[in-house]
Amino acid sequence: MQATTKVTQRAATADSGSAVTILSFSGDISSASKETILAAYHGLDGSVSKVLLDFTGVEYINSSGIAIFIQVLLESSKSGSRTIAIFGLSPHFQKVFTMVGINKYAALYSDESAAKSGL
Amino acid sequence: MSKRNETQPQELSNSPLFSGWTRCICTIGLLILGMMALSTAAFAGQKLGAPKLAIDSLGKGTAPLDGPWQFHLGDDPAWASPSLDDATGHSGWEQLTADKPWGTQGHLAYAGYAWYRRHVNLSPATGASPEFALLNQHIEDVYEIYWNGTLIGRYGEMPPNPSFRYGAGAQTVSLGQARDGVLAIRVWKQPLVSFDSGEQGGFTAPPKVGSPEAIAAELATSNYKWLHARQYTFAEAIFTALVAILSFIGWLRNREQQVLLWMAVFCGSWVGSTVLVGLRLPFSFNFALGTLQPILGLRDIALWFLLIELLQLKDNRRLLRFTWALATLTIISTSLDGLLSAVTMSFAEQVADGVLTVIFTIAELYAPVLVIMGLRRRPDHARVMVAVFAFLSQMIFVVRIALSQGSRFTHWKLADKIDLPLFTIDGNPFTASTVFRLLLLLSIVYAVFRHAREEFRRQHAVEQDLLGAQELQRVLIPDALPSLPGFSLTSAYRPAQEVGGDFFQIIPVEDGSTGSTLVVLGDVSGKGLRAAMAVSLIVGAARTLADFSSRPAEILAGLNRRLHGRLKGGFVTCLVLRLDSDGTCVVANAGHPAPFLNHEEIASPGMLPLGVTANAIYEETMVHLEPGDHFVLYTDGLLEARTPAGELFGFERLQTLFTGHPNAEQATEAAVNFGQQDDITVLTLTRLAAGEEASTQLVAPAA
Repeated sequence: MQATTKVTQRAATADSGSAVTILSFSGDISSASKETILAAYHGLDGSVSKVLLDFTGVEYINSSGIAIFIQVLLESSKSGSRTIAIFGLSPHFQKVFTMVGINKYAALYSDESAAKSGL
Repeated sequence: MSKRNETQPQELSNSPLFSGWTRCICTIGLLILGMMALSTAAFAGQKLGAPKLAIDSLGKGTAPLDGPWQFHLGDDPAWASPSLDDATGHSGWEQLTADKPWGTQGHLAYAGYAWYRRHVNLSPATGASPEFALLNQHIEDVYEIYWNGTLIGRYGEMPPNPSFRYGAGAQTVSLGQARDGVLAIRVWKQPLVSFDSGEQGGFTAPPKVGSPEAIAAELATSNYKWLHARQYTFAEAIFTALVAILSFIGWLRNREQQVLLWMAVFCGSWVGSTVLVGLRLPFSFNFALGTLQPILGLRDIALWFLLIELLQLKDNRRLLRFTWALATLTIISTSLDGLLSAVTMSFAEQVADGVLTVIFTIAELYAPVLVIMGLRRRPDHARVMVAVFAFLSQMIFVVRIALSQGSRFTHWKLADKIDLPLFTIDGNPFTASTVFRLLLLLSIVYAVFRHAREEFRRQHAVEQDLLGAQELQRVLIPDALPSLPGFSLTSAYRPAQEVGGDFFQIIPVEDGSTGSTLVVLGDVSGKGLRAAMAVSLIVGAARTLADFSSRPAEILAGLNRRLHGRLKGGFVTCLVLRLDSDGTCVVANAGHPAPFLNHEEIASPGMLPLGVTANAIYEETMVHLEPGDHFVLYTDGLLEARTPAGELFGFERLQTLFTGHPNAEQATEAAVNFGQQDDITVLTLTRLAAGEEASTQLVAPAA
């Protein structure tokens, strides 16, 4: 299936008062989305310390798509200077993300306000 | 041979009665009188009408009815009468010549009725046929011929339902034993279309008169000359038709080669336009012109898509969308314009014709734009040739069409000059358009041939890759299942169209314990040969590891070490379980969907898939299967089957499905019916009661 992933970036503030950058994804995510997603993540300013990945607009993520996020989370975990959290996943994909252990690297929240208060 | 003379006013003659001065004075006086008389006679001659054309002693040859004809715009049946006073200046009669249309003789852009009249006197040579016939090269658009007031011949249908052929040849009409009388020709010219210069209407060449045999011979010669001058057109049409047919057959055999379809449409529409307007077939003018418009539109559209295919612009989705939109607009505008051609146009319809023509003339500029975009991609020599000839051919066409639009107002003549032949070969004229059109066709044929060959090779390589991957996959999925004491085992493997990376292995444990079996099931992210190769590595590694350990967590850790750094950003989800004959089942999981025990998932901690981190440690979960318990392992192809609308099969449906204790094939079938997207592998284990005989059932695709 042709991936039609789009990524938009916006700034927000967590309930704690710290600055947060939100990367919002939309469309399907598969191996064809790799460049778009990595370009968006690597394009973040080095000073960005809190990142929220917004999956509200995502309809489907296949295993290759999940592999991309595992790569991103492992990168961030190695650098140790950035906190990443995830929100907006459907219950199905929350379960799948938990199954593949992503929740050990990024907290999963149901929506944006929960993510902002938890971060 | 014939002797032609035009009757002059009577001349005065000298008298022998006078001599000397008297004679001289009288002579001067008479000269003055004579000059006065002559000028009066000349004036009277003008008032009386056109000089009578006398053709004497006409034998085997033909004679043109050239010189001045009396002419009148409008229509009146009385104008056929031989006794009509058609003197120049009288009741609107004037003189025109028959060698060129009225549009070039003071009646620019006139369309409608008009009459030509000529007083002729014919006499056959001694011994020649007493009968005469008339040959008309071309009179625009339809006409009736009267001899001394009697209708003797006609071409086409006059309004209210006018009809005439497109590009008709010469016509003949019998004059019988005509001698002295008035030839009157009633002509009707249809309203002008947008590209008409206005310099048309009526005669284009003087008619010829001669014996029926001589006129028939002249007609045959004229038709032969026409045929002779079109040898190239016929050859080109036959060649183009062959290319169209072969391309179409090629496309039917391989529908993915869209370049062949566009080639067939391009050449087919080319041949269609030649058949409509180039072969003097009996199509009415309006039908031919009306059908020609959408055919030319189709030719343009085919050229755009050929350029997009050949100049490798296909990956530009916005360009493709724009091209389809423009193609739709072109088809609509050319079809509407064609429909307008089918009617006799009012002024409003002529304006609509002009507007529609402007739309598709602007669209003609799209091909040169595509060429410029394509050339920026540095194509190979064959594609450069297509680009250059498409550019030149299309630009000439655009300039020609654009300049001829409204030329009756602009009086621009360049379009006519472009239509002049650059050279002729054996009477066949070659204009700049003809030459570049041929070069474009040849370059497209060459480029399409190369393109098709490249595509074929590429496709063949991909197919080989796919076949190799499928073959590998089949080898790696077991084709027979070992018997598991105390269990009934079923398995099903349903590959998707594209080769995925599902795998499973059932490995009896040979460590001295009785009846233990290792089951390894998983899924490599990604598709194709790379996924199949990863599966091959995993199967080999799992079997080797099983020789040294029967602990699922250790086997997973070993697999992870071997896979780390080898999956290029991919991963492998995997389940390993050891099944003892007493119903004990130890499970270790690396990111794989947890197995279902009856209709509940077993608790399984989330873990990263294999190959992602170097030193992962995996946990083991133990469950005990009681007789009658149904234990299911599956890959995500089952969980994430999707309807065309995008709805997932999901965990809830899975739970409902497993409540009914389906065997592997039934579970797989449910997901396939829902909407298979990926490989599906299902393995079911049912604990048997004591005394029940172990059984296996395997469903795999045929090798």
